[in-house]
Amino acid sequence: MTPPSIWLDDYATLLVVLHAAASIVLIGACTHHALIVVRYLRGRYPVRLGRIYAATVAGAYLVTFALGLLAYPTFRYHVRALYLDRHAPWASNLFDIKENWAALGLPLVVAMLVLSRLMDPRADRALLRGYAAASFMVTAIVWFAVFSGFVITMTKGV
Amino acid sequence: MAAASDARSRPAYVASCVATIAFAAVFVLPMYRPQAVPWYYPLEWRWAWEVEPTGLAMDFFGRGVIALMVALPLAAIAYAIGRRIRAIPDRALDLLTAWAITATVFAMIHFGWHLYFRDPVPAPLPEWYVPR
Repeated sequence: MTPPSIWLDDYATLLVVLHAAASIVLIGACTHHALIVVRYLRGRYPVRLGRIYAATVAGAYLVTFALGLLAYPTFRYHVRALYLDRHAPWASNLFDIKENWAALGLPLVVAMLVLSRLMDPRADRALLRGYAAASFMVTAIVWFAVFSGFVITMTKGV
Repeated sequence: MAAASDARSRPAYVASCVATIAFAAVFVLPMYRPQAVPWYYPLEWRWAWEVEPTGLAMDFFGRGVIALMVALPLAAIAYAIGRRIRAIPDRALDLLTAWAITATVFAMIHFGWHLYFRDPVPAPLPEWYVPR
């Protein structure tokens, strides 16, 4: 018997490396963006920088998410089903929490991108509060996802 | 200028909140009540629309697509309605923000709680299996 054929199995390692690289860009960009939002809330407005970081966060989030989706079928069988579920079930569960939380962050990221282009943080405090909430939630989700991703990959990679 | 910006930014924010709430609700719904979603069978390269999988399968893609298919039209409708409202009050925006945060956090807590206590069933080891 030979191993079953799984979509993009041959490229899984490359995909996960690129996924990790994109996540490094993402965690940096969303942390910087959150710090800029803190400055907005304190009455200082580096709007251009905020827009650049919001666009970077959106791009990096979508790329990271897409690369993760492409590697997921290989992970699901070779890593989770054959190894983690047997030897490290906590890592299986952590992975599923991470992926579901990352998906829940998608609409927040899009909202953040759209608002960064349209709102004027100097003039509209109500929108700024929502913008700040989206930014902080995305940052929390990204930090959790990146570090749990590292832990899971160190437990068993593709 | 501010008024012109408000004319687009506030409706866009309303649409974003509606999309966030709808996405979170639809994404978590199959965990609450049995519901058919598209499952992907990675070993068989096929999709199936069903409530429970019959083998090794993944519902993550399907749940995400369905949540997007519900959230995007609702966001478009919310944006169109928002554009027709002369001035969306701050209080309404704050309320929508609170609902969006609550929906997302509730879904996150649900996934966290449910999955933390899950006891996964490993797949049988095939004859060819060599740890890699």
